[in-house]
Amino acid sequence: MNVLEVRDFSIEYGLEEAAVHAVRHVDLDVVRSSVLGIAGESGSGKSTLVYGFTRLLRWPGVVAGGSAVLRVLEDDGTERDVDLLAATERELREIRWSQISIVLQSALSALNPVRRIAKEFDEVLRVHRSGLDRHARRARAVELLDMVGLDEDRLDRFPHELSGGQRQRIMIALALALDPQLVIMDEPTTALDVVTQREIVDQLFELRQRLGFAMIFITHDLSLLVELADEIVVMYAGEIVERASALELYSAPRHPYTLGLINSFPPMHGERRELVGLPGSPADLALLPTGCSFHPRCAWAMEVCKTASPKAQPVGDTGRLVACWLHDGIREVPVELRRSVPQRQPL
Amino acid sequence: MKRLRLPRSPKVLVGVGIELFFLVLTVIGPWIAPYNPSYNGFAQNLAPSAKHWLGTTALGEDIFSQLLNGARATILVAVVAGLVATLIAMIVGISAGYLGGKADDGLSMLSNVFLAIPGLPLLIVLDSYLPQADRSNSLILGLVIALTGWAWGARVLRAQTMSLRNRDFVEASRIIGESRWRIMTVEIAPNLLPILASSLLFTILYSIGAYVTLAYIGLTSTSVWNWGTMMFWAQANNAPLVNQWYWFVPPGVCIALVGAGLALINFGIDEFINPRLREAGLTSKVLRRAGLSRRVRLGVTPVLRETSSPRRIHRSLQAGVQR
Amino acid sequence: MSESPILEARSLTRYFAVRAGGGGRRHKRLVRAVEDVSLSLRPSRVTAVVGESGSGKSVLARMLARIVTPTSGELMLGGEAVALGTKRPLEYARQVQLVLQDPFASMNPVHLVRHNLERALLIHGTRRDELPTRLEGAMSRVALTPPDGFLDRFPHELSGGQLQRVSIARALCVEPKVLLADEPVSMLDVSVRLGVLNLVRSLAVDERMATLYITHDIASARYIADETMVMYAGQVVERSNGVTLIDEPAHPYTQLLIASVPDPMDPTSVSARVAADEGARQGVADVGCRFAPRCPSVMEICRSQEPPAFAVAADHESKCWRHRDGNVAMAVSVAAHEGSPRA
Repeated sequence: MNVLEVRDFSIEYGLEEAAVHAVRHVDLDVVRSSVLGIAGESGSGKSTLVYGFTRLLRWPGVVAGGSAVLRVLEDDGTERDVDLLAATERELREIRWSQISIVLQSALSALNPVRRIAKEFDEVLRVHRSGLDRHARRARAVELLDMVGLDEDRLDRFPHELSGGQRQRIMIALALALDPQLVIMDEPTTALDVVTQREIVDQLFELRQRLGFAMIFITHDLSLLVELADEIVVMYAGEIVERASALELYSAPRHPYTLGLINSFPPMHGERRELVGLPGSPADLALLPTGCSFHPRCAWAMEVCKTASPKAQPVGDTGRLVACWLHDGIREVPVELRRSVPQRQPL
Repeated sequence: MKRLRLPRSPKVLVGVGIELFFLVLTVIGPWIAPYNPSYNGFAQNLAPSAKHWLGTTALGEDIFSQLLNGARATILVAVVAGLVATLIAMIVGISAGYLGGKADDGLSMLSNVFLAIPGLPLLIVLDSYLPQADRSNSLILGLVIALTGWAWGARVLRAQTMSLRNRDFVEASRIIGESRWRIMTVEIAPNLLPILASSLLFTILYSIGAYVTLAYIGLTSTSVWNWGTMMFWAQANNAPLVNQWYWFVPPGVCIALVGAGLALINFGIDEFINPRLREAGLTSKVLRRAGLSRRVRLGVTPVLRETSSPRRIHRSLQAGVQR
Repeated sequence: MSESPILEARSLTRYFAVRAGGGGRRHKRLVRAVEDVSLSLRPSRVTAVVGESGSGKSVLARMLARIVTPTSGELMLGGEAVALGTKRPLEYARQVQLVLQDPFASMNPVHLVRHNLERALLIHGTRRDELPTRLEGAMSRVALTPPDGFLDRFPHELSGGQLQRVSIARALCVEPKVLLADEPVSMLDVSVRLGVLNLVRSLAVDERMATLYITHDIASARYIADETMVMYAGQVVERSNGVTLIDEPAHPYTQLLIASVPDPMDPTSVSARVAADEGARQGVADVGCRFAPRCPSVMEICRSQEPPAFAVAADHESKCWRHRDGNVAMAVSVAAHEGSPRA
């Protein structure tokens, strides 16, 4: 049961000759109540993708092709499909925040500095839940703050009186105000210190268990996703290069980029030795290489990689996908890319 | 210097066009004038005709020749004043902003004093100290006007410098051991170019106004023709009352055009500073082809219609680009 | 085995007077950005300073580079005391260099990369005819070859990783003995970080540079450090040789830090909820141990008296009352916590 289905989705900045292909032919499914992690670096298109199908992309970004359908589960159990790309502004406004909400990357500065926190909640609830009176709205705001572990007295503060972590919790509370079915978080912890990050992630985990919404978590920190996500999608230069469950991806990556990325995180345990990550830098979208965008940095690049772009193909029988010529079934897969997935230790 | 991608919007081109026109006029004006502007042997108060395109004054001079001659002094003074004022503003503003402390206090006080003093009375006072002979000297007048017009630019530059001062690259220069003066001139000043250009344009605008005003109230030498003096004579001879529009309207229109041109160029500078304002090469033709309306609203990302001809995907053929 | 230090700091302290308090009443508040920090930077060794924002690590770096004047404390360069409070002499800049966090902000955007490096060389006495060779040398030390391809570009035309290498090259141009790196890889893409980290390490190992590596990412500190320090609220709360304190943390704050790092290899870290008030604003005490308001194993004495640094093991000390009686056992057991942390 998917809450979101995105097919062959492409986004461009600018038009015609000058267009930069920021997202290219992406297929994405988000299973109801699950956590999908999207990992990538600059230029990967991870944020662009999400702003694209929620139609929040700024000009000159345009959706250049594909489809994006949100499957809204009504209270009576029926499903209603919303075509996000064909929706009018009114239809978008209706589902925004009530069905899909998004915690932006700049969330810490998204709060109006001259408004008390209570006002932010009040406004959201007033616009979308017109049936509630002032006291009911306040009660709901208190309930939401409690859900994210904040005391009621935070409502009467101004944003600058709160710490970064507290502001982020408020953004999360606001995002959950209307009980949406899908919550998107774009690098929610990047600006926070590691201790606060831990708390926020734990909080999100717990909230999701409790409320059952689906979550898309975008980050460059792959290690964070392995703990939080059910499934992870790795993006590079606007394309999906690998998709697998969190455990599979981290312990047995199939794509050279995923392997390189994982190896770029120095470990916290074990012997200290020199690591080699990936050569070069993430691909420049304005100057994409021919064929597979990753081939200039790939240790196993072959002739075909320079001319033809590999499509995401299933690998194994667990539903994982890899876009790499090494896994086309014909060639010999290097030993680093065919590790077996360990049995998960029971906790 | 940074490779400049000059804006090409219609606004800017019109502005540049206007200014170029007047610049040319500054140079060749006196040569192409049909008559000597001071020659007063014509019939008086003639309406515009083929012989006198803008008619004649109450003293029998040809108005059109006066207009063409007037361009030179007006614009020359304005430009000189603008340049000198901007130079002073640069020195005072950047020093105050970067050095801080007592230097900043002193220089800021100086700018505030000059800002607070009303410009025109100060001009009149300074002008009255000039010996009669110098009142016809464009350069001296330009300097005098500059003295009243630099303070605003200095404040703006000071504010910008203060924000630049804390930027990492300035700190990095300090870490390397660069001297204060080199940091101000070589590192900070080039980053202020757009603001300096804008300040220059506005100061020129102000200077035209100041010069014309001085001329209009008769404080400049009447032996040098400029648009302000034309309007002075027109007013003195009651031209508005007798509906002699062809005497005072043309110089006014010219002044307005020069000002408008400067303002339009300033828009271009704004676009240059703020890339969001640029259209990113998206002309209306291209937008229409893609099926998009000209105005795109935030929160409703456009979705391209399928076009019948597939767009070529333009990829660079740099295989194996190693960065 | 260790040589004498090139740069030594003793009890460096930096206070900032801040006008605080709204509502008509404005009083001066003292922000103790760095308090009583001592460290030694030796040739061929990388000293890592780990801390969050607000820990004072950046102010410390700037004091060592002498672009911020300490409120009190001493600095010794090459064994000789440095006269603080006077203008920083060019000679100091020659010996101690600082690399900043944001590569794009560290370069003047209107000048070519070449200009940025040339200034460094010219200021410190290189002749114009020597410039090309010296430039090429600097660029090759940071593995940016062929140099002209990078020198004749504007900063925004290079990638983050390349530009950070240029920043390091600029610092190396003057041939310093000490390199201070303030979060050099935090703003770089993940896949690029290792390269720059390896470069920093190789400068220490191959060129005997005394290096200070400041970071909030404890894993990267573990990767390259020969000596590690943890800072909290302006103080050094734990220090050890090598990375002992990462593998066997003694101070509660260090333990909290390490427990918070996402570690896919150790999934139990998900359930390791450490009860702590997030309190970045309210959580730093003015009296007693700075960490007391957030400490899961706080005692009475912690609230009233500031602990000194106790030796926990050889070359390992921790500023915590729990270690007073030579008690080396883990000061806090990571308690599983019901529900979410309150803030």
